[in-house]
Amino acid sequence: MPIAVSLSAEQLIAVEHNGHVVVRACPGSGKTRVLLHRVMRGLNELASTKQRIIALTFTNRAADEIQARLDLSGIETEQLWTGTMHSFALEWIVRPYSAYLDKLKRGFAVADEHYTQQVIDELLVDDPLPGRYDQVTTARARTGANPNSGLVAARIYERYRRRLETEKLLDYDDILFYSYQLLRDRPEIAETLAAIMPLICVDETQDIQDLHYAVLSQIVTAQRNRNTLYFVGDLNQCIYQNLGALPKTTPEIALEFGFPFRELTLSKNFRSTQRLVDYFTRFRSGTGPIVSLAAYAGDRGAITFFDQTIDRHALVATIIPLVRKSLAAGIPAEEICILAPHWAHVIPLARELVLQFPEVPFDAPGLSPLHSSRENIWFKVARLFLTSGNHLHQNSRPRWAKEVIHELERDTKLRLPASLRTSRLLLRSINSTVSAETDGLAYLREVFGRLNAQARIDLAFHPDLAKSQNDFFARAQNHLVRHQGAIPTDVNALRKLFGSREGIVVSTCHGVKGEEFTTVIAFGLLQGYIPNWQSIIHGTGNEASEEASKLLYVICSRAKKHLHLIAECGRLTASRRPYHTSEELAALTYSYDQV
Amino acid sequence: MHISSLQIRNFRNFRNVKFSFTTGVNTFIGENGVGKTNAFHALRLLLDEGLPRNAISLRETDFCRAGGAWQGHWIIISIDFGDLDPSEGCQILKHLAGHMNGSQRGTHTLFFRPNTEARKELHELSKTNGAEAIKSLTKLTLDDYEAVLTGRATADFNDDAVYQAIAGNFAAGSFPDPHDDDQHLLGVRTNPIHQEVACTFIKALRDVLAELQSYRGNPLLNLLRGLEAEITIGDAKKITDMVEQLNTNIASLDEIKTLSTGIQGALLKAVGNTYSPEITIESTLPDSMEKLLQRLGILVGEAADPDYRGDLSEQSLGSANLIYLALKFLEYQRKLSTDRVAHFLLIEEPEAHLHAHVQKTLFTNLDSEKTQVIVSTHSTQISSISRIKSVNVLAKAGADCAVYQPAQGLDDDTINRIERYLDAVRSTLLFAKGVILVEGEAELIMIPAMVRAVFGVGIDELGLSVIAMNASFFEHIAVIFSDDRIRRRCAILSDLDKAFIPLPDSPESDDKIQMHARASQLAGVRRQTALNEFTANNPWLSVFLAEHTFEVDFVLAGNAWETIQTLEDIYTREADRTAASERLNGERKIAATEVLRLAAKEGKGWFALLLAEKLFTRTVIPTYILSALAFACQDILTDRTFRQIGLYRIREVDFEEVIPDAIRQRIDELISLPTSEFVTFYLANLPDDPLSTLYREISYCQLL
Repeated sequence: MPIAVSLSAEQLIAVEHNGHVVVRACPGSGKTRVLLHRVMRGLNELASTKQRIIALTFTNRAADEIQARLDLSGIETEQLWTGTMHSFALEWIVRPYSAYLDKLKRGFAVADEHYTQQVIDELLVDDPLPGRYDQVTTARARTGANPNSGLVAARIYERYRRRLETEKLLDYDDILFYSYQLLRDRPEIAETLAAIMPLICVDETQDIQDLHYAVLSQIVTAQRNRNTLYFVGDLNQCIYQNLGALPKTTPEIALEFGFPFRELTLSKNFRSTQRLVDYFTRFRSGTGPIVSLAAYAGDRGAITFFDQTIDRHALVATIIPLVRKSLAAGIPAEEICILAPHWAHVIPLARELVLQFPEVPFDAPGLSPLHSSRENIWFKVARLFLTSGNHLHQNSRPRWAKEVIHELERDTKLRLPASLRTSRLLLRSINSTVSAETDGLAYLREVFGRLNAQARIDLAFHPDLAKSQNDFFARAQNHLVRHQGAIPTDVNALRKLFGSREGIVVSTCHGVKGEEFTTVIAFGLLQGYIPNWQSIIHGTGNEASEEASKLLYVICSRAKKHLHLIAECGRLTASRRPYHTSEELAALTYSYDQV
Repeated sequence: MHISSLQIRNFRNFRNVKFSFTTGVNTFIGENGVGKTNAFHALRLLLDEGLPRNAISLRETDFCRAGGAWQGHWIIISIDFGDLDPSEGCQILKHLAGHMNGSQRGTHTLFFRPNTEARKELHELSKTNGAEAIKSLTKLTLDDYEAVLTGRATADFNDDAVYQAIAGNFAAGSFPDPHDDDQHLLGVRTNPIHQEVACTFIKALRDVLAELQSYRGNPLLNLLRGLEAEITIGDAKKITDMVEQLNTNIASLDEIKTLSTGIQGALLKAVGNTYSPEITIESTLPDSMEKLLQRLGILVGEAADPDYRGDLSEQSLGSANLIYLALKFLEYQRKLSTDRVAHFLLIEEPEAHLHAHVQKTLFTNLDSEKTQVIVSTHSTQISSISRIKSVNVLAKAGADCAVYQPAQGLDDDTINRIERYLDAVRSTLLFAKGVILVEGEAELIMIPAMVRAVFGVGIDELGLSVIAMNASFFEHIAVIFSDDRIRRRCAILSDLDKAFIPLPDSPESDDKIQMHARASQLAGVRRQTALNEFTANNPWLSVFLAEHTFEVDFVLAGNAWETIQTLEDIYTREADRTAASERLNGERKIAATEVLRLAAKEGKGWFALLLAEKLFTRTVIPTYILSALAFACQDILTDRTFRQIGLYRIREVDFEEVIPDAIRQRIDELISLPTSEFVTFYLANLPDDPLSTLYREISYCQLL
């Protein structure tokens, strides 16, 4: 989508409004475009080279997306910082000010989710949780209090924290917690950051956590009226509540920050047919109609529902004809999406689809052994080796290379040799690396080794870096073992992870957040997945049904024209009872189209 | 925002020093070769964008030799900033280097140190075997070194204990774990800050003309650059069209065409068709606005001839320098308003470029809020010097260099008093290696004259300055010599004013003269007590008192002959001369009274000038003055100078009772002696010679 496309009246108001804003954006309302324009406006209005526009996104991919779109339009982004809340806290607060915390002043490293999960799993071996769906939450409270109420969970949490501390590791929750502590205890830090950041844009506001609010609030209240907050989100699309997201209404946000916010609404949908809009609106709690302004708003499309009418083993056999039909109607493969609540269901299906439907390309990030390592430095190195300087990445690669140089120098505390010190030189070296190795992981091992040799990095002296590399390969290997044979492992298959997104997308509901497809095929819409068992068991009934509604809202609103819902039968719970259709979905009476 | 201090460890000739700075104009004072340029370079490594990026990757020769073998040592250059307020465009600098503790200070530090791997290895070795660790140091090469920039360091790098804690104990062979570095002390890693500030270095013997004509570093070009964007398209088009027309017109002149055909013809004749290149002659005035602007130059007019405009190369070096500086100021004013929080102007020896009065005007007109100037000088004629608060004195100390702040720790009243006293001439006080403070003109004239006559060297060759206090109090000036400030010896020379006439036991029976003498004597004792109290516990100060007063002590020391010679100039009548001469040769009381009468008659200063002309090799330096000389030059007098003086005395003193002929005849043999042997010989064979006395006095001082 070119960003120069003119804005609708609603969008224009949202971009041009001055002061603190909460934009409530319904699905398909051009939220990202509005955010981009607000960022561009911010960049244009900067008064000093000492200021930065901050755009906080929910995922690194979303941040890359914003950056890439601005890069493509040739907009100067020197003074833009985009990234997730965690990387923001790490880069702007924890790293530069770590000297002020006794626990951090002698160095620290960041533990990724994979490692923290491993630690918790180890601790649980000796001290198991009483209930099957009990969980240890690592989210930290502003007060630093133990967030777990269960006796065992609370104990594990304490041990977990102690273990990370002795290993000089911070998890994502620590990063936020220490950021908040630093800002609270040293108001000058907040004042300084406030002077740097006149505009802070936050995407997917509905999914941010309490500590995110705390951190932002410390910064923007430091120098009253000098900063503008720009929140964009949709309360109905909050699907990360069980991971600590704390959706807030506009008055609640105003209360948190201590100043008023103007709530603006984007109520025009540019994505779906009116029929689809009317359908997914029924999973929504808010009021007010959503009007479709899509060119094809009046199309009938298709909305179908297999309610316990097919067995899980027949999923592929059911899905293939649906896909064929869309393809036959001239819908390009990348406009078709197959999704389910959990990767555990997505990956076997993707594997079977790839095998049984060889003539059609698939874009299944879950199939890549690398997809869960995005935060890992070696993922970033691999990304450089697995992409080339063609039009697709020519703008992004120099930035990725710069990031790699920065992180390698930071983690080794060494300067790279002069021959690798600039992004141009690093890319030149990487582009000229030839290897006969065809196996993906073996190829990466080989080129990593060569890069280390050229960079004179001896991993024996850099335990953190060595650990991330081990983690990177261990995760990839695990993934391969778990999905034996399903995943192509050659270099070209790995390259696909970064290739242009062509092929039918196979992903999870969370994985396609923010995206849109002409045809959406969703399966696994069962009580226990939608909502999750944890919410059913630990939450109030209301919370569980709300979660289900939000997930269904997100799933259904991805579709432009065709939506196929599947609640397959034949899946059994741990106690071997059959799964039922998600109650929220079952309760909805609708005259679905017949297939 | 300004630089408040600079700490250096192990860099070039600085083993361990600290410079202090104030807002506005600051001065480095020091003799040539003392390291002023190195101090500038240290600042530039952290502040000057114009240095090559890899400038902070230092070399072996950058390690201070006074520190012994360099391997394993750290070079530390740390700059402290004051008034770092995030609200004034300083926010990024504050984020990179600011201390978040309410002090509005910031610190930016460069470490050039063994890298983590090398340090880890040292640490592991030192855990089990310190001696091995020390031995392994020699294996370190520059490849094992890294340059690291940090912000917010809090360590006092001048403190030896701190240095030992961070870099290691090189005597015991213990080295800390690099993975346990305390970032609160060392600071957190940061990017260079030189994009936040502007730093201009103006070399002493800079070729301004070449720089004004060069492409890079030409401030005029920098100012013109980007200007084309501000010119309206219409205006630009009008001009470029004219240039295009002009180029065409010139090229189409018949004369030009003929010439180009001629050249082409000549070429064809010479090399034939195959090898002959195509030749045309065209006017190459550029037709893009950007390039046209870069062709602009500065012309300078003259007051005497209003119609004349000359090229810069016709200007004197001084004017060219002035224009260069003005362009630099303008360049940074423009930058300052947009993206630089401060401008640091480092000027080496401005006396080489600019008249003192021009400097004064230039520096006082600077916006001292944002511009901080540091000038280095070895001239005493710098106007800004009188602000001792902003002076750093650089002094050689062997292979090392020491830096003193003459005003450190003094209250404003004291500083003001000293600054009033320090006019340009007296600022030699800050340059001297040793100082003798005296009461007045008589000593000011006589002491150098005595040294010249007796030792054959100028007082400045000894590195000493004699400074007259006139009406000031010793204490007000001598206060700048101390452990905290200037660590140079300062001898205070005064009078005890003891009466030389007998005084009755009871003051009540004093006559007028006796009363006066008794009052002076009492005042002298009080002065002695006060000065002794003032100098107690300060190894850099010592008091030396004439028993009576300078002229009296001089005559009584055995210099009646010299004094008598002045009578020629004072009296024309033979009778007067004879009478005075007899009195001077008389008993102590009479001689003393007579010399004071002569001094009063002629004026002390004039009398001293007369006396100075009469001095010769046998003149006796009064003991208290010799002691003062010994104290003041104890750190300076080398065996080589001793030898020079000794040879002078052996050659020139032709009095058997002072230098026996037997010794004088051995002069050639003595000349060929090694210096130390000469010293031993001299002390053993001429124990009563004033040079030997001076030497013994020095040894005595050093013993203390």
